[in-house]
Amino acid sequence: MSFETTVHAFAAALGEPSAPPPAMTHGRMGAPDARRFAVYRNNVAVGLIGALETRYPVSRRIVGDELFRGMARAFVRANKPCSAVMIAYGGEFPEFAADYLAAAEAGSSLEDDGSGRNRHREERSDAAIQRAAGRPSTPGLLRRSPSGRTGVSRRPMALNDDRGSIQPHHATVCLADVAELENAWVEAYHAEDASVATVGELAGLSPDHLPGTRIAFHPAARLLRFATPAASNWASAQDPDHPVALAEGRGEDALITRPDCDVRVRVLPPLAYDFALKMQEGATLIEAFTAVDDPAFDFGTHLVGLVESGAVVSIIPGQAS
Amino acid sequence: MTVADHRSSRGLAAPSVGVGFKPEHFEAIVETHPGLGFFEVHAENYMGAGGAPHRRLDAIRERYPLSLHGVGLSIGSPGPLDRAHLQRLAAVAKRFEPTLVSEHLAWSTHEGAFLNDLLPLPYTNETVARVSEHIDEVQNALGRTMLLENPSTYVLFAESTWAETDFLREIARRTGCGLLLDVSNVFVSAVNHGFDPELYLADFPLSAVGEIHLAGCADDSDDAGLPLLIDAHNSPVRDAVWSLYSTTIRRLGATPTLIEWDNDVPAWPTLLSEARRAERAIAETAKSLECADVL
Repeated sequence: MSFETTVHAFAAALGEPSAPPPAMTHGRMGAPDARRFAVYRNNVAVGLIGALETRYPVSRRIVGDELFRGMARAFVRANKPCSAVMIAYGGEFPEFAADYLAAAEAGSSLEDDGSGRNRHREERSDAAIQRAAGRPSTPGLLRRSPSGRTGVSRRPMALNDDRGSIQPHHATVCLADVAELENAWVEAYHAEDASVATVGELAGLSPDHLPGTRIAFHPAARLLRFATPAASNWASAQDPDHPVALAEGRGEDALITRPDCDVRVRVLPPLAYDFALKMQEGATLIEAFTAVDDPAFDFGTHLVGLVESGAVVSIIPGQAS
Repeated sequence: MTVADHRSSRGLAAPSVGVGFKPEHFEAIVETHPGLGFFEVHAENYMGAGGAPHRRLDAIRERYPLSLHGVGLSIGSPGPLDRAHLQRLAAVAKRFEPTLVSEHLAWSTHEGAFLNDLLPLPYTNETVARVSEHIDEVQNALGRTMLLENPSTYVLFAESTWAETDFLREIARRTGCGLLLDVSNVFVSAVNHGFDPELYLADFPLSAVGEIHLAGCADDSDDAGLPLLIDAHNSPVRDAVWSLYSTTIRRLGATPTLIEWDNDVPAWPTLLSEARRAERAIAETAKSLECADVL
């Protein structure tokens, strides 16, 4: 049998949980051995599931270990990493989780959640370590959940929610939004380094140059608009002293920055988000202000805020008018 | 061409014992600056664009030599190497200037999908040629020699015509690469396949060894109820492995040795104590050899 044929047969058996061990492999009895082959199969599954657990710890806390593992197992079966750089794996999981939970709400059966019997080689990501050590807090920038809801269990939230306070579909959207935020957090964590601009540089601009001023965003900076209070839910779901309670209410816009090593998450007021997005797209200050279309919008404060947050690497003065 | 001798210290000052660098130990390391020979990292964890991982590794590298251990190159694949991944490995090596670079005798990628495990290959004329070609390509891309690690395996292939030690010796002969002797993998494979690890080590091409790995393992069993060890890297090194290690360094001399503890990572003092145990084993072996010389 050629090398290629052997590896192909081995890989095919790995991917199919019900497949027998490959005929060309053997244990000490000289014949294929299911438990021996299962070590590899479980290593693959458990390792990939572990990568998702590392990337989405808050989402995992929200839905609970069992449901998360079921979703992760289904995702892993359908989505193998396309490279060995595991810190980049799993960006599509939020969308997958939303579809998975929607299917569960519609009454489709969940995948059987067999437990990984074998140990696996796992490398905790740096990101997971930072989070486990206590995510750096940025006082005042994150609003705690306003709901004040207590006594919410950690049951998988999409199923049999007899409290009736949050509609299942809303819970699913909440979870998907939190997962999107987590994914953006990890991307920011690993993004390229760059020196940030300072408020001093901003202050040094002459008024003539201000309207035409543009800014360049830091590679780690991200703007996200959510239909749910995703940033608040993300923050509150991390509190180990309180049960998970997803807030209802209006959506939130988030700014993620990483001026140095630590990732920061801020909630932006809606117009501030629109303004920042325009600036990120390359608009001048006057163009972004015009797009916001609110004469009362304090662009100066929000521009300073962007610079202070570490979102900006350079301030490009406009031409004197 | 004979097997190249990789036993030189390669710039690693005694003590030549190292541990895997884990981010949760960073503060302890920079605060206490422990006497260690080197730190080893998985190359793939440093293939992001920047941020805390790079910053921390820079800080470690300022103070200690580094060993770069790849897990995703799939050198044991039948198909061509992933050139993009090889370039990423080369970029990480260029950035952090490791003293040692190593990878696995295993495949992990199939039809473009990375399977995130170290999968076994048969040992045949075809595979020895293919693996050797891949190692030539890696060493050319890196501009240096690499170390190839012996695997822990749970199955064997009926079509294998080479013993693993002969296979590794032949690859080292053809390519000039060094070998990373994972003594724990020898122990795991020996239990799993029913051979004597001492005989394996006696036959191992020790002159090619540039580094040793030691790790913990976990117990399991196969369909027949026979013992199976899992290369779990989640516990202290077992006494039987320490014994094999002493035997090995008795023949090999002090060799850069890594304590490999990747899962259920312990507190820093526990990991450090494993490294100190390796240092004591080296010292005791050296002393007993001196006594033997005197007698």
